[in-house]
Amino acid sequence: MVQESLVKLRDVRKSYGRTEVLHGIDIDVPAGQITGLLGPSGHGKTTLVNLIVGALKATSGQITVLGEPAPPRKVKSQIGYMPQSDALYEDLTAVQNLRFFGALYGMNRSQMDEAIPTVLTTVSLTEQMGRKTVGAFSGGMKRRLSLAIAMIHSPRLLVLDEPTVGLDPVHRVRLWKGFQELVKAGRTLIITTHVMDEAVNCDDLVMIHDGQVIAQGAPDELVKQSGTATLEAAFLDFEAKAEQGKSTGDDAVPDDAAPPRVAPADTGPDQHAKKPRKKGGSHA
Amino acid sequence: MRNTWAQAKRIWQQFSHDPRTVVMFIVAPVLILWLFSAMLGTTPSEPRLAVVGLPSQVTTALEDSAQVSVLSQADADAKLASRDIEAIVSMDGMTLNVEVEGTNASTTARTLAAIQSGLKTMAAAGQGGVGALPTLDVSYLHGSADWTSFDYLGPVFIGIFIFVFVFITAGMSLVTERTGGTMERLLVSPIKNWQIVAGYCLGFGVVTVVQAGIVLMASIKLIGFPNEGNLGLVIVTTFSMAMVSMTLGLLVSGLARTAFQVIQLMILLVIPQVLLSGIFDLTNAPTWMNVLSVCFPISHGAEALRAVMLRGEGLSDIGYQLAILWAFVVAFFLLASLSFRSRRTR
Repeated sequence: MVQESLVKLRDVRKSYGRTEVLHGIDIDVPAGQITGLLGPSGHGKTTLVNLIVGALKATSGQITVLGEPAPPRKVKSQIGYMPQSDALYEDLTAVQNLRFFGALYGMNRSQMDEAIPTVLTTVSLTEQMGRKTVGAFSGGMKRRLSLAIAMIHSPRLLVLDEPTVGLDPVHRVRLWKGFQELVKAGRTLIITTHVMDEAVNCDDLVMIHDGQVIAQGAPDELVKQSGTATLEAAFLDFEAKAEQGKSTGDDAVPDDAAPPRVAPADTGPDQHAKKPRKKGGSHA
Repeated sequence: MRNTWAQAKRIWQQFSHDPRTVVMFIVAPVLILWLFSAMLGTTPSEPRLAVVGLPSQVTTALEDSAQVSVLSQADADAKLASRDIEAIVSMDGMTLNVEVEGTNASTTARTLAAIQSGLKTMAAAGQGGVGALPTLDVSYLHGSADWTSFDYLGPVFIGIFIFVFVFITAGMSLVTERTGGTMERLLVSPIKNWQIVAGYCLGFGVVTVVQAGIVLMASIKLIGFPNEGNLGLVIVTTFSMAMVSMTLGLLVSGLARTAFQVIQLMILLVIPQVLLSGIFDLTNAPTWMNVLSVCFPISHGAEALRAVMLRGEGLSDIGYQLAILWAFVVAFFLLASLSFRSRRTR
């Protein structure tokens, strides 16, 4: 099955000052799927989505979003973005927030009247909140409203940065059902997460470690490829391989390079010298 | 245009949910301007003098313009030291000796003026052997004899307060969006940077017109600020100043990372303008200071306000100042739009 890539990244690098946080990223995001960006906090996921939506500019490399080179201008209105922080106007009501962003995306009154109940239902919020301003909302409600804003204009591409953080399990499950319905309706989703249970629900996973892509593929394929039982184990396995690739000082180590796998035990002193503090300072 | 309008509408909605801010917008400037008028508007009390060994007709003459008590030299010295009197007047031959307390220059000036006016009264009456002087007959082109320094400074202060208030409001706006994360949302939406700035100008602008109108009405009708000119023109001038302040505030807000930085920049950018805006007489100040004063928008706004409120001048007289103010508005608006384009791509 040949699929069109909605988002394409080629050798993308990003530096803040002298520190490079993304070291040559290549990603293809297929249309009509949920692509998960999986990786620990602080390893460049947010920077990556900021580059895709055009909030940041790459230091080098090529990014194509919906056929337009980044930062996207013409296709902006076809992208929905949910930042990691809630990013709401706390002294407005939920509906006022939605109407404001709807207007920015060029929606008229009747389009919004139609869309608002729909997106609120998707995130399990209702219009009954009435005159209550967002400042009085619970953390979970704010999170869900933030998501509703990201999809108010029915974008082709939805980029969600940690959408389920701080949500209770009930709403988390409901949201994922909502995501799958969006995909059925032909939308494409990019979701960052560091939760393995959620990553399993993605159609395609991009594993990110220390500003590099360490693996990409369907979740079950990745598990199979690594020869492990769970996605978590698979991630740790890919992570370990990537680390070894670095410590030998050679990026060209093939994926199936077996020897380094036993290396950590042999080069024990080296490893200890690198991170003595984490072990609780037993030598003190 | 739609985006700008949406942005402005959002700002009004935010105001409508925040009645405290609305009240502060009106009450705070009125309260401060009232305090200011109460402080500077009072006629200063007559200076207290001690006279030591003066001829009685001199003492009587001084009593016209000062509270005089006849004391011995020792008592007078003690009272001067404890600041119960402002000056000791004694006579040495034909010379009048005045010893002043001297801590506060303006009190000293007032005391000396009172003594001189007493002597003039005496001379006019042909007493004390001093040659007769013509009686002063003062007429006023503008104002009247009962105008105090409040009347001269009043228009400047109205301008300054509106300027500072608007600066703070505008200065917090973009920074709040940045720290709250909504800026990120705006930047990835189709709205353009200048539209964000224009939306704020429109939204706050309307609020400011209402604010300036109410504050000016209260100042003139209730507090008693002088106004010899057209109230509409006063509002236009104040609004022009407010727009300079708003665009400058937006520029600062676009550059700053935190609210704290906005306050720091305000101290740097606004306080010098206030100091050189005409509160202090710069006639004898160094040239560079006068040049600096001309470079500052507040100076032009304050000058225009004084022209209208004190001298009753019309639009043709202050057109020059208004043009300068709006040139500042355009410049700051463009810079503000650029200030966070550089941020957008970091």
